[in-house]
Amino acid sequence: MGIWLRKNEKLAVLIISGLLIALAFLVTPYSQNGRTVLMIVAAVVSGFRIAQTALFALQSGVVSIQLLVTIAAVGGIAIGNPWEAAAVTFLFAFGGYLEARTIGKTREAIQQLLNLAPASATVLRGGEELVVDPEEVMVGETVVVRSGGKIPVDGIVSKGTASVNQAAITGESAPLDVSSGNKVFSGSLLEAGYVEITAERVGDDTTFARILHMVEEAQERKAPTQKFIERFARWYTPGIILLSLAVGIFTRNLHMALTLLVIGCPGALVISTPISMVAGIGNAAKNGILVKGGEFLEKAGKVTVVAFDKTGTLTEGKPALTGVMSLDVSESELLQLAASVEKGSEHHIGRAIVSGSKGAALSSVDEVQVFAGGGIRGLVEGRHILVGNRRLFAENHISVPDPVEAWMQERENRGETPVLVASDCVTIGSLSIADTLREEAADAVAGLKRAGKRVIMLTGDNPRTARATADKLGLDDFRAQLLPEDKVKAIQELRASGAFVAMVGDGINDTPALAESDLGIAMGAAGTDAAIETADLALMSDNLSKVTYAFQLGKATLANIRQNVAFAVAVVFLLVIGVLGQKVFLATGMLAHEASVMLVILNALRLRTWKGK
Amino acid sequence: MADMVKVTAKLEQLSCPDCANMIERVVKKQKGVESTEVRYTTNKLIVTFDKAVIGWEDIEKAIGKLGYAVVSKTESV
Repeated sequence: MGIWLRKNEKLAVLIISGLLIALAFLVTPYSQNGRTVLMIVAAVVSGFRIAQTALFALQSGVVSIQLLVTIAAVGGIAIGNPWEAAAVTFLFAFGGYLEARTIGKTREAIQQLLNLAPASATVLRGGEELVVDPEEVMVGETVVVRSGGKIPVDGIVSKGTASVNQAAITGESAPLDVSSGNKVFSGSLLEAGYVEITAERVGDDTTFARILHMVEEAQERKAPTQKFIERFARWYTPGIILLSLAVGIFTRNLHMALTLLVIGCPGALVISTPISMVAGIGNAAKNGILVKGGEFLEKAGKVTVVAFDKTGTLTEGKPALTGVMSLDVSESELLQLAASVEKGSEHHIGRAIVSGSKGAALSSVDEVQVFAGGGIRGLVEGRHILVGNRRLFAENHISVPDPVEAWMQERENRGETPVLVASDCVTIGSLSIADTLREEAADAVAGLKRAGKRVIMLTGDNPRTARATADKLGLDDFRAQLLPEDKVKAIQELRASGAFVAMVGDGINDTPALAESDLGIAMGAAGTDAAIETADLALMSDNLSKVTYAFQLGKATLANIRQNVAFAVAVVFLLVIGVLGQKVFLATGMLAHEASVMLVILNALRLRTWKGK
Repeated sequence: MADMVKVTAKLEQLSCPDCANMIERVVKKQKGVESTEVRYTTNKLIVTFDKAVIGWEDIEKAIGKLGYAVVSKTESV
């Protein structure tokens, strides 16, 4: 009992003073004195802490709402109205208690994420299994996870197979099958199977830990609306004090002046924005969308144009070689030469050529030179091999024979990307590469268009390939043959035309465009630090439908904030009028004030369970 | 000799936005405290103070007198 009381002091105080107030009403018909005494005791019980806080704050020269409540209660008793004293203190304490409990709920989504954090790790040391704190695992060590266990580190599976639920990271609840060579993330749940994992990142370095850290930071960042409201509160509060003073001086009605002070506190207004933001950010996090701050959720609700990068965003980003056309040399020789040059290439086309040449023995390459947005050259077996697009060939004054040009156009009309190959400045053929469109891409585009957004594609591909893709997806527009800096320019032009532009990319080679847009969205960000750092919004999974969800959630959050602000302003306005018109008195005013704060919180809580349209 | 230290403390759930504001202002008024910030949405108090003038215990006591408990804290220089 003693421990319970200490832990639940606030609740105990509420129950006791509530019972005293009820008792006071019960004895009213029999004894007015009894009623007065009981009401005063109730006021003292619920008001003691409030007065203590008020006095201590006052010692530091701070005038708090608690001080106003204390003055109101003491004043109520002094002018022979103990019911008002009891009501004001009880309602203030009750409101505070309820608000604290409810506000905690808005962060529940984050709390649920925190609960997914692994508590221990089983590590293999000297051939023995050892259970340690996840932070104590060292990079390079092998961690063992069995059915039902949580993966405690980011790493690569070295042995075994398992079905893994990565909902904590990506928001996707469908389990993923992993085996040797696959990447797994800390915070995922191993549903069935057994794996050994080589730890790559541990503790605070894991993607999961970074997400948690960023979500918490995001909740603390102030959105523009919030800053505006805080500026508003800066002149509003002194305004109310002056109004109360004026009312007190001119009407000699101290009671009215005091009521104005208490109900004038802008509690509901001040929390109207942050509370909705926190709930919205929490909802996003639960769905695998990392929002870097409330302002970006606000912005997500305002987007008018969505620009997609093509490769890796609208497509799966796993381009494959689909065709070879050669002049004067054999197809396999052409492929072998091109693959040798591209051997070390990081470019997706280069990688597709290398993996498409499977089996061929690649020659060593010298003097490699990369042309961004153009291609690559290198010295192979004494021949200068150039692999690249038409522009690069034109710049090098290498002509493209008609049959090659015809073959390329035919490929481009199918949405493929052909590249030219030259040996010692003579075109020897072409290789065609294609990337599969994401399954959900067409639906996602259609959804965005239904929501009234213009959907465009920015790509480095040639116009013909771009058009084929744009037609397949039903895009509003596309810009082709763009170098990374052209993408930035395209975004600038769109913004200059008055559009509010979101850029969606993989966050690796379109970083400048992401930074230039009003809202940069990175896809498949789990495990990609650069993407998480640059983007305003990072989708942990590769699912395009999350883009639509993010915009909808942003819109819902904006609407929620507007409802809250409008409601809070209306309540304060009506109360002030009511008080001045002698229709609202201290107890009812206090009730309305506390109720308005509560309603704002409850409204924000709706965002927590919001599920999209 | 000033011995500045920055403490980030998690407070128990704050009951009202005005309370966050009050805690911030009261802590700032304590001698030796250089800057204070209370983040209402995460119940965090970030305070920079001079260890030579005031101890963390004193700050925690001041918050306690206002009716709030400190749940956890981390210190950085």
